[in-house]
Amino acid sequence: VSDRRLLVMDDAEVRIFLGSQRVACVAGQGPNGLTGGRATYVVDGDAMLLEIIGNRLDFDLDRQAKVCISVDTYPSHDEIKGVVVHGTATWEGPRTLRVAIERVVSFDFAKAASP
Amino acid sequence: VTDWSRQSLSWRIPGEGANTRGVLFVSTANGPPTGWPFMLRQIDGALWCTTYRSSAKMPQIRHADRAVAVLFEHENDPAPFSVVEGRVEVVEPTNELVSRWIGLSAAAVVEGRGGRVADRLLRGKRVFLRLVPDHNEEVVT
Repeated sequence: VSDRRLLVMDDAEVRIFLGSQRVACVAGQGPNGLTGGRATYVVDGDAMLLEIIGNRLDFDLDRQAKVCISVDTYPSHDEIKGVVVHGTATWEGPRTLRVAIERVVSFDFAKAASP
Repeated sequence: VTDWSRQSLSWRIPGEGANTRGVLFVSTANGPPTGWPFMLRQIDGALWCTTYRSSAKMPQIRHADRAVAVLFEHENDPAPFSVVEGRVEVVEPTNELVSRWIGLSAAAVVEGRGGRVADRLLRGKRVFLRLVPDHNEEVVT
């Protein structure tokens, strides 16, 4: 794909895509540096509510409140679709994270085949 | 914690040369994390992928000395998954590396994708990224 700008989803497409999925990868600052894991999520207005899987993630949000969330699907190479969300996180429970969606990077490879 | 000098990568990660879905995260120069989904392959105990040399992610990857890869089998299953942490490097393609990369992806070559990527590697449009692990965790539940 030569021009990545052609693959970008608009806001409505991003919202529909995020609403169609339920599992994300997430990374943030841990006590010993960058750390990551997986989470289930729901979209709540302009935020994402993440339920962290397992108990390994210990984001130090006082030190770095920004996290990065990636949701992507790969039915085939030409149909890869993904959204990467950057936002500010707050704990809402021991494993529940609220992330205010502040910046989004998206790609939909199927757009490359569109006329 | 895995002792990489004595063990291969996680049993959750497909064997040598097989693709696995994952997201590569790094810390940006001003602190916040960023990341990109990749297909990664295990070669010689490290995780490899390729990207365009001119892509927007390259300055951030070149700046980062460490990366975290979250690897998973199925996008709709929260678990199991693996987390691999280590040093991230940009590796310039050589004929030997590209040949090995192609050889490890016969299916993609047959479909024409391996050939295209290989061509772009050999012409310098794409580079390899290599994550050399020093820490690995698996989450099953």
